[in-house]
Amino acid sequence: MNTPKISAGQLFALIILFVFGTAIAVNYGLDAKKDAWIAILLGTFSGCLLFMLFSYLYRQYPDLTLTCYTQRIMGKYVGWLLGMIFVLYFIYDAARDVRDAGELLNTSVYDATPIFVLNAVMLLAIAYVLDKGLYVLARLSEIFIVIIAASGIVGSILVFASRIIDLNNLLPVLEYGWKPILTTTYPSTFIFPFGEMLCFSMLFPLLKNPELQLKTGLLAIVLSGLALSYTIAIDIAVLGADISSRSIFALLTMVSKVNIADFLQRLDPIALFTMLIVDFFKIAMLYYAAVIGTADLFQVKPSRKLVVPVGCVILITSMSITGSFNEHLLEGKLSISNFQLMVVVGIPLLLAAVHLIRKYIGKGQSVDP
Amino acid sequence: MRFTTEESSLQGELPAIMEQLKLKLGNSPDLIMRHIRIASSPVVIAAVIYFEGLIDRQLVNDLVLCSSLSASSGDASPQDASAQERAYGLLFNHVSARGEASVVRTLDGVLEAVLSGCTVLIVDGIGEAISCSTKGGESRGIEEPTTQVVIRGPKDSFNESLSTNIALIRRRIKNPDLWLEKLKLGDKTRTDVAIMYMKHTVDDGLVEEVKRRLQRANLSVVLETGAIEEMIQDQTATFFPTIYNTERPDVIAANLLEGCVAILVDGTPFGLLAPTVFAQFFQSPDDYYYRFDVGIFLRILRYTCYLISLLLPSVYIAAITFHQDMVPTTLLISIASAREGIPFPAFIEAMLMELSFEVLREAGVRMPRAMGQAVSIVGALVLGQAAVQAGIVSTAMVIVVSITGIASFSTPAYNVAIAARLIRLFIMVLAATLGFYGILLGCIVLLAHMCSLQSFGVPYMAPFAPFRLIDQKDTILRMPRWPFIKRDRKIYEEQAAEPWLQQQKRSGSSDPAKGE
Repeated sequence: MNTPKISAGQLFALIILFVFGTAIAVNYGLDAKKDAWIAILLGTFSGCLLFMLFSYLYRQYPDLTLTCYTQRIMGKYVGWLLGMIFVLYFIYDAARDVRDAGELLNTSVYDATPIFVLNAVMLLAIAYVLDKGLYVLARLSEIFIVIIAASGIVGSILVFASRIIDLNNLLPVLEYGWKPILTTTYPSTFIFPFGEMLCFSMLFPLLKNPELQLKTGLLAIVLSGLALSYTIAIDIAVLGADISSRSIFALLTMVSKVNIADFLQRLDPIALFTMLIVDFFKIAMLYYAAVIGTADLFQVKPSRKLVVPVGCVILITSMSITGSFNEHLLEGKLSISNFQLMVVVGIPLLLAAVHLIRKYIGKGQSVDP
Repeated sequence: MRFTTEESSLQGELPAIMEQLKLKLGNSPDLIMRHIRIASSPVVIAAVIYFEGLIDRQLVNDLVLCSSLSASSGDASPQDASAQERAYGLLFNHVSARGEASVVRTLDGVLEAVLSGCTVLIVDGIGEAISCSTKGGESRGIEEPTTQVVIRGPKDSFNESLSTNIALIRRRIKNPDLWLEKLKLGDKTRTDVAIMYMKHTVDDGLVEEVKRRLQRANLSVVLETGAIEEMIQDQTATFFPTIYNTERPDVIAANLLEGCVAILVDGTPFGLLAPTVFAQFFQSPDDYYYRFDVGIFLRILRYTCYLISLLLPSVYIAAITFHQDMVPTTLLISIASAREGIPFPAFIEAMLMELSFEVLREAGVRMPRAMGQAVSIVGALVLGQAAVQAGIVSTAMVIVVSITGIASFSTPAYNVAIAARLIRLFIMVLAATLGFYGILLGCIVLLAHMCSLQSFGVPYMAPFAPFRLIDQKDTILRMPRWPFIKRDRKIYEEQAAEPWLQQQKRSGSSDPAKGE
């Protein structure tokens, strides 16, 4: 397929939008109470390390996607199985994010619209974009990163201008010591969203300038981590740790407090749509990874053909995944500390280890086929 | 009609040839045939053939005069040549001294020459004819542009004559690099089409591609550039034009200098420019003629207006139907009181008004000038005031629709504005079913669609997506001229997605993007 490659700037925009994804919407790291922002910074730092691991693997096989080089490293059968686990993980994660978006809309505005419809429409739009090709998504991200940045800056100014920030809410720092921060960071703020960036391993072979991949990726992660940390800190400063962690979507609650001269108020729909846009990109990336992965594993030639089937699977998964939003959140916590941790950290570490071992053993023996 | 393939030669008696010609043209009375004597001692007769109205009468008379004079100025003839051949040789010399002349050997050649405005001289008994370019006839003068009006800037525009249009461009770029190629398109119309470009500035692959697509187009009728545009554009399934058209020679000149290719067609004042990007449709030539700050302001205004014309009715519908809590309370109360007693939901109301506005607009374009007042009275009174008083639509809706309508007129390019009008209806449906969520997804899909478009290999949304910082100074912004003296469109080389370009690039320069 002759599609334009992904430039470094596009990768940057995609990563930032991806990291914001649902993290900016759901109460992210608030288990660490008022020190959530520290937990996020720690998570960002660990996320950088994890990204370096992904990059290391990519560098060994610069032309291959994650599912392809897994089969190279682990052999045909085990590799295929691990690849399948990756694909299932992408589908599951995409479904979770679709559900997040649906719940977000359902609780805030569309209380009369069935979640299924909201999810289906979202997936339909994403399927359209992916059907056009990844380069279209990448170009879209370049346009939306500007919109997101602008709304972030304007939103910040409005929040500051309406004098609702009380920095005392953030003090004292480390009231309960490091323990709650560490337990929140590992695994919660670390896996989500930085561990999920595993799906970018599926698009690295499409990069125009592979040598810029690590630098761009790390820069984007650090920037988005800082922005996330800043957002959560403002949430807490405005609402207090207690209310933030108890509200369903802290950012929405925070923004709804903005009131300037009784004219600029009720900005929460704008915040809502910002969240939806970033969520759109997160779902799209995971969805794309799932499509490409499936095409790799089952040898489907134009991977476009799988856009609709995989979309249907994601849609159904998103509906059957949980019964209620609370269950959804709880399951999220559980899956992050078990299943997701294993997939995005465990398997890549294993892959790297096996690769290194094979490299050294292979040196002594004959050339690896 | 392809000219008949059976090669009928010009051998034979002159009257027989004339008869044949007349037969082929169905005795059309505007075909003029004049007989002149071009040698006297043995009398040699020549026929002058042309179409009345396609030629410059002065030129033809001149030609006829000189041809008959050539008889008297005959010099000593070589013995081996017959009287006819001698006369023919003399005649050819005279004619070619007067202007562009060529030899035609078949009847079809004669027909084609005559049809494209040449005058053909056939000498009795010689197997060939002389075709002489005497193109002329009435054409509209160079007037002010009617579709792309500027306050400051050149006031000339193209007319229907290809040679005039080419001259208008040449007058602006006095540079040997400005190259011109001509071809005939359309099996039936045999229309002259000119391709213009700046050699050395333009990408050679682009010129080749334009020519290839023109040839491939296989048109039978070319009456306007629209036919060509439709056949050579990259994607057909889109609302957006991917080829720019203009009737302003200064726009064509400016874009030629940036490395575009211009396509001019005989018989229409609209020239095409390829490749183009979305941002180009929001540039008006006078952006460059004003101060840059004014230019920037006007451009931002135009983009805003485009968004308004695309989204305003949908936003109104969504706000009224789904998101009442977003509207400030006092405003909401006044809207609600205006909507009191309106029998329709906001969506139906908006559709009614939008469609009637579209009807009004179309009627405004088509109606005879003299009826203008009647339509405006009916439009303003009946659709505005009476509809509100009758309680069919609310005042708020009238305001929304009129702002939308006015905003859509501020786009400099009509074909992009019309795309917004069409898309607006779809987004209104989305707004009515899913509120702002629908609008948001609709906009994302629309943007994705626009990002997937390309114009001769150039991404349509460049330089926004793919983003190029250097080109930002002439898109939404129009930065002052001094820093961008060396402004040229390099998007073409860097971002091209078309295979022919990539191949060319790969062979031309090292391409680090490709892995081993």
